[in-house]
Amino acid sequence: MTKLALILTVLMMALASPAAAISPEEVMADVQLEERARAISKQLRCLVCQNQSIDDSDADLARDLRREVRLQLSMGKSDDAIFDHLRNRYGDYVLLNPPVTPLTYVLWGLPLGLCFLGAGIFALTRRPIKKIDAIIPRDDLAANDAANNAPVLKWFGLGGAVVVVSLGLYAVLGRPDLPSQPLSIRTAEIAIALNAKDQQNAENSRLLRHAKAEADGAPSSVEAQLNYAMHAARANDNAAEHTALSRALALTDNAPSITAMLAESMSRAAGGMVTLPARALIDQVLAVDPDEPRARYLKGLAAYQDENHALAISIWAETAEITNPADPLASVLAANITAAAKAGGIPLQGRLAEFTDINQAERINAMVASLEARLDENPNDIDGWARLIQSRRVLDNTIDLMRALINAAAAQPNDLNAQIIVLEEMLERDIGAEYLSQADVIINRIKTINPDGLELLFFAGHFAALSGKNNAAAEIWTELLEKLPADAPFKPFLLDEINALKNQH
Amino acid sequence: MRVIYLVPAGVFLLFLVLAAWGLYGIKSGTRQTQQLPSVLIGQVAPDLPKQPLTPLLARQMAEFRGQPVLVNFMASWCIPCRAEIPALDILKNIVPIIAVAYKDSPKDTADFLETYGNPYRAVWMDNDGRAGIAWGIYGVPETYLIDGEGRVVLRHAGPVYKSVITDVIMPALAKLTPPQKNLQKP
Repeated sequence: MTKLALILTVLMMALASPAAAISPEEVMADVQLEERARAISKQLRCLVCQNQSIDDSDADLARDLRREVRLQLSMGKSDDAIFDHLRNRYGDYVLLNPPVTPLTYVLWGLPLGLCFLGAGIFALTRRPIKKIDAIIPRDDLAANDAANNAPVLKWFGLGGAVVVVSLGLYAVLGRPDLPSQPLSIRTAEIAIALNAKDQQNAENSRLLRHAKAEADGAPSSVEAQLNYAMHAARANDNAAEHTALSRALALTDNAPSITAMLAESMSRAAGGMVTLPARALIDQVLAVDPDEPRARYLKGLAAYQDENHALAISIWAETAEITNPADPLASVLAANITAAAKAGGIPLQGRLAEFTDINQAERINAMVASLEARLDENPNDIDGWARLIQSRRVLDNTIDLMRALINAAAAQPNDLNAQIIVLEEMLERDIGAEYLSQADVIINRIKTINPDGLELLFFAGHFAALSGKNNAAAEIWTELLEKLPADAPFKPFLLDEINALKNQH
Repeated sequence: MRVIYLVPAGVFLLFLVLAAWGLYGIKSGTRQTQQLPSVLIGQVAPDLPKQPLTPLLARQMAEFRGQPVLVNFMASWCIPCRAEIPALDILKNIVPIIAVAYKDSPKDTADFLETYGNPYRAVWMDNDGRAGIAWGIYGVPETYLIDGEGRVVLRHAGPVYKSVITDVIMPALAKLTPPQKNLQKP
């Protein structure tokens, strides 16, 4: 019976641990940072509550402090710096573990002192208790105990029963204010979520093992090493990632893009802080390739972590200028610029404000439109055309893409590839017939650039067929067939096409 | 009886003496229990938020440098903040008051000032409460007295009633500057 009471008491205490007050939208995307945020929050007092941590409390101020902690973490502050930050504003009172100072010696020392005092008194007074023991017979003592304990146990039992019944009701019905979430369902949901996480982890480490085997098997393949590094990053294995990237670096004679990856990996290993060695690597990369996007991104992040928000914004903004608007990096840059502007109280103007507009699709469209407008004014920007075409491909609107391709080809009338890409795209998308007049112009350009090329015959034949001139098409392709080398794999296919054209006639 | 048995009684007696001393301190007013001391006292005042309610009311603390200034954290949603407006109306003739509207919308703040009166020389919006955290406030209203060099001299949590002016703010102001220099006729 005593055992039951003990078990119930322990059970009650175990179940009394309060639920965290944190709501889903507060949770940081970075799991490591979130864990640190939770740990820090548990050691900070909710100043307007009765001895709760800000992690436990639902109070407004507690929520604001939790957000402050996460904001500081995302800026790369250390745990101690965050404690100091709040201590400088709210005093030692904000710390649930008061620091050991002369003022708190008594506080920290008292429990220890009392223990010693108790032990001392116990040691010095043992004998008298023994005497009493000897006077009263043991059996009587036991009987006495049982008689005294009976009502106590009854109350314990009753209390325990109430707890057990309440728990049963809670498990089946849920909280009175949240009747739709009985304990059983939530436990099941939590189990499913944990299970999914476990499976993901298992899958990640399986892929990592596979990639490692491949990389070890092909020590001279840069691709295999990079694949190994990527899977190591996914599985949070910093050491493996470092090994793989170092191997890739040795193979590529320190390629800037891989050096930048190494800097990123080092920063990730340091919990998101751009460390000094990482910064050295970044500067090394930028000295060779000032446009390396990853290095530029990290350079901006380093400035942000130094709380040099204006510099961070300018680096990121320049990076955004040379980044394809449809690239995922562009939206990361937009979010970061917004965050830096907010943290530094810097108003964003003009194109920057436009760039950081929340609506991503609209933002991309606006960016692409402005790129197009700039290219209208300055058609000689070949990189600009390449970016525009890339963006249009990602946005996947055929008419816009074709317009970009045709304009790019017109802007570079002497570039054979620019012409060929347009015609290939038309044929690939099966829209050649709708663009016959433009195709004619382009075929004429190809004729000027390379009148003896096989490309000319190939495309001229295609578009002649598309415009219904089957005879002409058959003639052109016959000429192509004669010019092709004997072993061209393309030949039988071309022959079939020519026969089909002749038959249609 | 051995002396050791007297130890617990002795410890208890010590506790009683300490408790009596503490209680007497509160009763006689030498121990402050109503207000937690702010760690900012003597420090340079933290920054105000960056967003003004209206550009017309966008005066910075530094513009009042050389004379004391009050920084009053308030909010339209805060009932005690209404109660302190009459007292602030008196104080504004003695010392300029800057308002920080804590976690409030500009429209609600403007409506509040329209309804209950505007004793402020500047109103700044602390939309997300980060300025509040920087100043270490627990809630609204809270009022800080800043000296001519921009240092925090006094913090008062809770509404400023007329009694707070006479008992708390005026004595602190008197220590800062000779009274005749600062007192103006309303």
